[in-house]
Amino acid sequence: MQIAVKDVFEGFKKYEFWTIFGANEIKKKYRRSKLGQFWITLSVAFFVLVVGSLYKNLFGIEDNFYMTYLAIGYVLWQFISGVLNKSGTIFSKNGKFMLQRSWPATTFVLWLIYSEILILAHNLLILIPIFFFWGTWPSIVGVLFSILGFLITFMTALAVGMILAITTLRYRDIQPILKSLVRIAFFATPIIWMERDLGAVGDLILAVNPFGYFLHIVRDPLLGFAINPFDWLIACGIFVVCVLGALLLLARTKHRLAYWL
Amino acid sequence: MMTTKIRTNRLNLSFPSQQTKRMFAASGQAKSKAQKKFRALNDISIEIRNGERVGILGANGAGKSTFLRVLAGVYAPTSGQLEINGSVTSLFDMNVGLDKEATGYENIPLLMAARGIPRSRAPKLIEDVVEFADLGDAMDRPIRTYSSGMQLRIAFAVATARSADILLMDELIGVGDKNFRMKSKVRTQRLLSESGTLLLASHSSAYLKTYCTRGLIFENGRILADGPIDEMIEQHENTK
Repeated sequence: MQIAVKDVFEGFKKYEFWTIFGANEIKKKYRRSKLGQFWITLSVAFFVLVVGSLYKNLFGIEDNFYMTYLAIGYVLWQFISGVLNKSGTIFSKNGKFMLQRSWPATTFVLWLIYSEILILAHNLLILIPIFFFWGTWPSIVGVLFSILGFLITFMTALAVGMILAITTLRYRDIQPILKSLVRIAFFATPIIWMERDLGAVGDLILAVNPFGYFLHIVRDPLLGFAINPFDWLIACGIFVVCVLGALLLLARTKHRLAYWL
Repeated sequence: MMTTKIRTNRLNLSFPSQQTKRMFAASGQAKSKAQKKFRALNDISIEIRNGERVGILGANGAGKSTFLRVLAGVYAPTSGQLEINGSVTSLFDMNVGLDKEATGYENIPLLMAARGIPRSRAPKLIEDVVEFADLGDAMDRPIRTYSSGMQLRIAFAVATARSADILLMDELIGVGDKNFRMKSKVRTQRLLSESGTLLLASHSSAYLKTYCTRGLIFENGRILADGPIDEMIEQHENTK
């Protein structure tokens, strides 16, 4: 366990490494395009506008509130799914670094999370016009709670990223399974639909879907909903379990990671 | 004073290998757990003192690179002791961190980060690398437009910019055209003379003779012989 905790601390300390490569990850993707990284913002904005206008009527949700609901949920989902989809290849992709010298494993997970946070920052820009046109601005307290919710989400993502990175390095078949699960999870999580009349099965799916709780703790305060302590409790529970799991796994496998590359 | 920089005692390293597992199964041998593993380093006991320049000889697959990787902290030994006093810098693959879409200038901080060089040293180091690589206006172009020799110049310049307490090198080759090769030789020599202790794995007798004083011959993961570099080169060449 001590090995793992040390790895995490050492990993954070290498911030010069993961910030420069995390940022370069995005630069790399958009290097030769004119709009550059603002394609990230645009494509998400496009999704929100088209899907939002369509589904608003489909679900019979007349109030403008749906647009802000969808936008926040989708932007956060981009972060969650980005981490989940890419964490499987963290070590296999960066193996050449790991074969040069001794690196804390956490550094490479932070590299991914940092680049996903930069993407999130670009996507947050969408919320400004959305709130302006369709919603009411969130309160300061709401924003603070939302940030707190995101911090819990962020740290859970770090832990889950570590678990997936290690297990996928060892068992490569996890990666394709993961991709399809993430796709299904998008539809099983209240992002484009709202939790109204789901019926017994729907309620059950919602109860066992861990993503719902994280969406609640980040999105609800921004929408001015009352804080539901139950959501926070479950999210914190998942967070603690994931962190412990990640640390135990890292402690057991740290010395073997390079062999599995 | 001659202090011990590196000491290993009965160090072993085994790779988990599915390939060998299949091979053993095919030849009808019993599949014990030990046989599923490929032993890359076998019973390595050695002491290297401050200031020693050690050349590592041996055929392909003898364990030279694996041994250097163990010293670099990449592979943890399966059993045995490993003691290292001082900071270790490895020079295995100079291109790690290079982004082909980025310009020459943009690549310098990336290469620095990949080698763990603190950003605070950037201004001085960039100046040094730009001057040494001598690529002129090409520095502003993406390095995918460079020839492989030009690419290597930047990577080499960053890789050799910082001296180390213990320097590990795997087959450092001459870089670029004739003129640049001279420059790179001078720079390599400077790096080596500024670094405390050197371990260099190479197939080139000329390099080993120039840079090393002590030689180790590896064979099948074991140290076959240890002695003055000239004798070791001779012995290695006779057994070839």
